[in-house]
Amino acid sequence: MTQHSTSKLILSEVEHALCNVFTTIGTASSDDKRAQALAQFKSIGLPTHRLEQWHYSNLKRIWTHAAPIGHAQNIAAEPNSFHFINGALASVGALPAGVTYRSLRDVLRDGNEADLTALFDCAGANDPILALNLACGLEGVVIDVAAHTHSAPFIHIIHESRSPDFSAFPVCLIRCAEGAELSVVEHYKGNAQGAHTLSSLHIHMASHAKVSHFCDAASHDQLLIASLSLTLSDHAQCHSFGMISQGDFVRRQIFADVHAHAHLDLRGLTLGHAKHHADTTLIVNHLKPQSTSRELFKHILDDQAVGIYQGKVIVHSIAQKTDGGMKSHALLLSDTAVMNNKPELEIYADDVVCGHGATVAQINEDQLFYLMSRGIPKAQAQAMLIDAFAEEMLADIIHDDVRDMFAEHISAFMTGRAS
Amino acid sequence: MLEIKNLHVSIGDKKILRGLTLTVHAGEVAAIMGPNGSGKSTLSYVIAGRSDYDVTDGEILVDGENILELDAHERAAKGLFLAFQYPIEIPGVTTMTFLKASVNAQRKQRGEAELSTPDFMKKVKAAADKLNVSQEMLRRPLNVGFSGGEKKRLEVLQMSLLEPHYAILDETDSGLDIDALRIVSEGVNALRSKERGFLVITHYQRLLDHIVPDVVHVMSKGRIVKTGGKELALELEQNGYRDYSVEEAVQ
Repeated sequence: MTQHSTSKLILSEVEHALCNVFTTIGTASSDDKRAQALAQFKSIGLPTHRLEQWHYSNLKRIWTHAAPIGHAQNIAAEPNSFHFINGALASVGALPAGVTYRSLRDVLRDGNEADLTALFDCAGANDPILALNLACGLEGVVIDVAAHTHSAPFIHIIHESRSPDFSAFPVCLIRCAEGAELSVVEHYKGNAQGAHTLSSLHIHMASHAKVSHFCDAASHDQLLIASLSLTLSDHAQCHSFGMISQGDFVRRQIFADVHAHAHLDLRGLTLGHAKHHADTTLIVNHLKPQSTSRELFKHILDDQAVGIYQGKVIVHSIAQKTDGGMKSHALLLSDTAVMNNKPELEIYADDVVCGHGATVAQINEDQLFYLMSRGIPKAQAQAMLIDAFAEEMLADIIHDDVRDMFAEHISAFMTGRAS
Repeated sequence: MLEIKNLHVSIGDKKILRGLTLTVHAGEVAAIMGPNGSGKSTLSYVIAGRSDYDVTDGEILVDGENILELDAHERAAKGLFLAFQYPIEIPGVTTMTFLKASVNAQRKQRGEAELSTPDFMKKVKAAADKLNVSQEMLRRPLNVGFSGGEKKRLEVLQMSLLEPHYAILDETDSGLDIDALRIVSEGVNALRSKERGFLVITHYQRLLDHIVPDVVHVMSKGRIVKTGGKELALELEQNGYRDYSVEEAVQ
């Protein structure tokens, strides 16, 4: 982890309270790493617009109250599922062959160097909020998928907010050994008032590993920051789709390190309404030659919702023959919805193909009139056009259950508009 | 009877239609010819209910009912149909889904039972076969990647499924080669009946060789300036529109 010098930053009351969540666990190697992460957070504090990657999400202004740490409740375990309640691990279901796990506390207590490196020297470790998450997080799991494990059922990581007014810092790490294939769904759900969740999922893919990842950010948390840190070794492949459909302040931040011949495909759809603030920020690092990445993100924003897309693709100087393409499209359904679109390329290699594009539009009046001229009432015509805009994002999801789960959010969004 | 009485239409400060009066009887094919900028496309949009025009005076009556206060979808359910000069592409909505939504939306508004999927499919297949519209085309997103001919055939297919009382064809011949023009015209002619009126808007005589009109109106500067039989179209083909001067270009 790169350490910022501990400057004379004066921490606010909330920042102090957040730092006080940190407790040592008595294993020097782990505590050192966690203390370094805390120092990283302290050097910056809660980010504001002055930090480029947080330009549109002023966390210092929003996070005004440090709620106590949440506690788990007893629930029945479901197969292939890790279920967190209020940020604490509540149950683990039976796991398929080739998939094993240890609790984060056990891993930290063991202090094994390889484990700590995978957790703390991850893509995005410089981010102050991911650093805070790692410093304070004691609840979590480290999941290992054995080499060449195929056809395992979906693994579900469920984060459910049940109690009012709590803070949570869960950390999960998945390591896929060489040639392993895994599908994982990250769920955020629950209606708790005042929940503050900082969560991170780290996925390390060894060479030729393949991961399909889905993130369903549908909790009504007051604040949810879900970090996804991806490391793709040579020839690894990762496809990730995430949807933000609820939550007052939601930020999905994705950090990816992409090595030679690896392929990364990141997609996302945000459905924003009321005064929701939904931020998707990603940094993709092409570190080695001949890797490819595709990013496609869409926002549908109604009422006074604010959407943010910041995507940065960095092609390092030795990453020749990188092929990258990034697109962001937003559809505004009201005059008061706001979209901030900022795709960026930073290219230090001279033989690459990279492009990006961003659009923000309202419902196309010509298309609307065409449908209405055939007898389709305005609300239904609008719904067809919104659905069509969203549908492209679900079309490639081949797993029916997962696609249906996301499709339900789209139809709930449309029903909410109609009522 | 479709009656347009003293219709005045503007966009912003720009007057486009200036007291246009026109009647299309059931069973009649009326052609409107006129130079560029005479307001022909505006007329078709205003009849169909596009909301970005200001109707400052006049009436549009369908079988005696003034439709100016109705939204576009309500006008469609009353039996009006506009075949677009440039049919709109809608990615993400399959053609079949659109056709079914259209037919059933109109039936619902008229208090009729919605068609079941098998009944609807049977109806579409019969109509599509006549117009050389393939099933593959119906599975594609609406008008996306369709050739000019395919788009116009699809417009006629929609017309045959929706069975309007009055159909307005806005420059249906534009962008069509001779074969496509023949197929589209045959499709239209097959729909001619004594219950249905057509308003065929065109620049050129050639469409009227295929869809022979009962009456020809000449439009200029936002009004009908001359009305005659089908021979009027031939006269215009020979002499051009020079007798009907154009003051301003309005599309």
